[in-house]
Amino acid sequence: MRQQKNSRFLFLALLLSLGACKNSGYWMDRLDKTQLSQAENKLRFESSCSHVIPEEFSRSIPIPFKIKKGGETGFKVLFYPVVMESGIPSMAASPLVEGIFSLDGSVADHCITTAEEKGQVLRRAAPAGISMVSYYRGKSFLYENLEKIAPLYFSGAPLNDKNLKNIQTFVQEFKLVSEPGLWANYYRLSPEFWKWIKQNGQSLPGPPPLQ
Amino acid sequence: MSLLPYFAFAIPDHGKIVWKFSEKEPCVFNHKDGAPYDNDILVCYYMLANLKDPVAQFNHLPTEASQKEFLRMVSSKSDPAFARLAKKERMILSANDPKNISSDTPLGVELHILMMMEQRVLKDGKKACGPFLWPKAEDDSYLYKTNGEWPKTWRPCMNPFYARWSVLNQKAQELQSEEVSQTQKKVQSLLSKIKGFKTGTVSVAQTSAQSWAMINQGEVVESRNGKELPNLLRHFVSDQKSSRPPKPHPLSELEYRQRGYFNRGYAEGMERLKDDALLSLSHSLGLSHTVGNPQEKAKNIIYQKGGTCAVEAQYEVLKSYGQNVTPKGLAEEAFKKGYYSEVQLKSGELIGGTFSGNDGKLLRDHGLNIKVFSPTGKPAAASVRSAELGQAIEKNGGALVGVEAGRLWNDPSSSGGHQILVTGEEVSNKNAQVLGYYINDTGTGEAARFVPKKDFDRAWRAHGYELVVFNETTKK
Repeated sequence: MRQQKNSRFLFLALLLSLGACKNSGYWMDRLDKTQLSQAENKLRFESSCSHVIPEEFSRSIPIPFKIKKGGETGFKVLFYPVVMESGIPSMAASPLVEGIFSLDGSVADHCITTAEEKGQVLRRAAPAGISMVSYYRGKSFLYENLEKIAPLYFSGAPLNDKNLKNIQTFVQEFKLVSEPGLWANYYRLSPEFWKWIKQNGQSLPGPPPLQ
Repeated sequence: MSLLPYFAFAIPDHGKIVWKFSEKEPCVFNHKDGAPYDNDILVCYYMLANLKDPVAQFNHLPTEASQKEFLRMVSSKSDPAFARLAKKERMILSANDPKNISSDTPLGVELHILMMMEQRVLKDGKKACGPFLWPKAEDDSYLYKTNGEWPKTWRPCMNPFYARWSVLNQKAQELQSEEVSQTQKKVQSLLSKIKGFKTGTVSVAQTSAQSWAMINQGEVVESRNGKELPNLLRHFVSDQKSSRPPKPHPLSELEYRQRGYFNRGYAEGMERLKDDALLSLSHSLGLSHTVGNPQEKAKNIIYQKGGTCAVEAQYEVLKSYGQNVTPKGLAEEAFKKGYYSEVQLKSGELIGGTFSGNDGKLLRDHGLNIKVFSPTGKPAAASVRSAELGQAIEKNGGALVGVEAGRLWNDPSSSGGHQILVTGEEVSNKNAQVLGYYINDTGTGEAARFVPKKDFDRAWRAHGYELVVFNETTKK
């Protein structure tokens, strides 16, 4: 029995190491194939967005939201400036634009400038010391899982073990690749979504969500 | 920060020490009788950097004695800060001393260490000098005052760090030249040995690892049947071209400087040298050729300030058409016309950027004909956009392209867009496939950088295959 377990472990380790051998390009391709990434990429060039988002602004991970009254569902994404200086890590400043889009046409794609002040430089724009491979591998897993869990959140359907596992993977990868300086902003984008995540056994560490 | 509030003078008649401050003589105190008051300049800078309105406080003191007491109090606060600075200065200079590098360190390792020291000594020095740095440095911008230069008043504190940086920089430049020169010699030696062979079918990308190892070791076995040749030369073809375009590898010190090999760091610089060596080899073997003239376009490269990539990429284009423009002038023009905007954050940093609807408009305003392929426009297919880019390079020597910066710079912290000038493409002689592109990137100051097609396409795809094609048919 122990031997069987060991061989399973070895097989898993082999699979994982094979996955780790892929270069960042492979993971970029995989990320770019997700519907979510394609829709998010397109958003900044939509007519209501292109005149409020300078091309150089970075964009956040999309977060699902739903409006109970009208039943609209979609994703919210933040656009923010990054302060870059040679020799020090890039810093994410407060987001200046919020973009809204959906995959099913439930809401019209559009952007609004945030009420936030042109705030202080926050913290790192990327997790410390993360490699390109880890970053894009994490991001592709994150988007793939988000595509799976978002419809569950929208529908409020009961979850099975596989769904819970997807939520767990989403949160794990979110912690790995999201901008550490923007967690409070992520909470604020869709508090209901994060509540749902918490109800299903996962949460983000760090500062309490801003209300 | 305005200097005006500091042009305040006490009234000498009231028996005060005269506060004399100007840009020429900051922090010089003269007594009413004309004799200079002996005061440490760093104490004065400490006062200016740390007190809210020291000039007003000082000038409103009623007597000379109280003014002296004020300065003494400032000194008592600045002395511990100065002691800390002295300690840190010793530590920083000692940690970043080129003498620490042992003489038997390999060239590449020594260069890598020197480049790290170069970055560290100014960064740590600036941090250590923090309490004495006045006024605050302005951010990179063509639109504001000193364009991001460090104030002269930083010199007294920063001088030891500047001096060390200068030594490190000079040494690093020498070693970078040596790296390039050694690579050139290896390539030349290899080329002279393989001259006359008709070879081909090997793609540059497929064999880069083996052939680079081969170049490094200088291993070439001359053979007429090719069997004993290293991997790169295993396959023979018969379509070697008799006349070849200029070698992509830099031929002179000037060309090397223009290309900015090591601007993104040591490893990235070596990667570029490797790429260029392989391209030289590939040309010599008749495997591929360059369309466009990347080296000619490298002459116009500049480092952008702030988020002016789109503006400065257009500057490069206009310069290549012989127009009399400057980076600052174009940035100001773009700002006035609303193509470019700058935002000052509360924390002082300036963030700039160009709205995507304004792509190529400066070129149009300066008399060039432009055609914009926006990310949401048609035709959207990657193959069509690539074909358009190829045609633009062939006909007009280049095109502007929008990419995701982080993918081009291997930096996960930037998912923002970035505009670059594509100045050429490398095309296979065997099947006319594009192997990669040559780019000028004002964000890194690199010119004629070869980017393999796959990597280029990934960065381009993430920004919706944005493309601006230009020509001078409607030039005024």
